[in-house]
Amino acid sequence: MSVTVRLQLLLSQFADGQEVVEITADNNIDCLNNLTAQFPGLRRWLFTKQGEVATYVRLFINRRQASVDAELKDGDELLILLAAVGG
Amino acid sequence: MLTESDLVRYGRQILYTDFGEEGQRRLKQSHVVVAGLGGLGSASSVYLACAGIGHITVVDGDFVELSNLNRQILHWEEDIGERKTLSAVRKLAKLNPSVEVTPLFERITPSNVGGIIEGAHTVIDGMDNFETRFILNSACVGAGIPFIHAGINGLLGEVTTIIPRKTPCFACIFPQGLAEEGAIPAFGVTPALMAALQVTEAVKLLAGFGDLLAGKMLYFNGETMEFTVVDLVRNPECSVCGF
Ligand SMILES: [Zn+2]
Repeated sequence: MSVTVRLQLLLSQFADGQEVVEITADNNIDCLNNLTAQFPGLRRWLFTKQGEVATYVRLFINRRQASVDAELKDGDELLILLAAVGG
Repeated sequence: MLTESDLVRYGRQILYTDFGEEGQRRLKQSHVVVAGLGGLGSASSVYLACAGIGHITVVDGDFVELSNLNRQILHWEEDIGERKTLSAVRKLAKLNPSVEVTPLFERITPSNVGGIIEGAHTVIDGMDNFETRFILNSACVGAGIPFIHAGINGLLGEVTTIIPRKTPCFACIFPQGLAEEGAIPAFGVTPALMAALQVTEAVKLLAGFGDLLAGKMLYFNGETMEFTVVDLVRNPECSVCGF
């Protein structure tokens, strides 16, 4: 499945400045793995040292919150946002 | 219920058709807790006081520092070293003496949170960390009190309104617990914007009109000037609000 990954600005700087990246993947975790294989600099923002998706990462398929293992369909948009925790 | 002075002071918002005198009366009868008096809480407490919320409780256990002053507009150079709650009460009382302001110089913990939010009609998130937001979220869900969340990072911000048992709660959005934190970059304008949105939500919620960011998160990106609204999903197995 080819999906459009939309990166928050903070993250796009680790994807050669691209805010939109096309990725082939069947589900979210696949997509994150393929994305970070292409842009290794993103890895430390999206995953913990233990290899789990970090707690402050939020995933939205077609602008709806989705779990790490949610499936992706051709043409889906996966929006990746980092939580803003300051005040 | 509304005095002549109220009708003048709040005249311009009373002109708003969906709000009117009835809306103003509702605000006057409302009790709002502002949890945290940093960048978010500074701005939200000012707008809550201006709007005529009858009773505002401000909670913070910190003292004013020089490094706060680029964004925490309620605290001024002369307040450095002072309790944030005292600094806040002084300014808010001058801004609108008809509003009752209760200062609580405390850090919010699981053991004191129940007393802090008791009787509140809504709680405004002015925290700067995950941990206290979890404590507030659990207490608000338990007591059935709406919790208006906001957070910032640099020029990024987010806002959502959590209505207990109706919308996803903070723990639904963050099921896994805490994330690590260091000093977070912050301009003054980002918390100011997010706080203004929180008070917009609070006014509508308390006066009973308009649509809320219930079950939706609004993200702001100040570098690209994009606002993005996404749908949040309730976790049926949520440790806080799941059945
Ligand atoms: Zn929940």
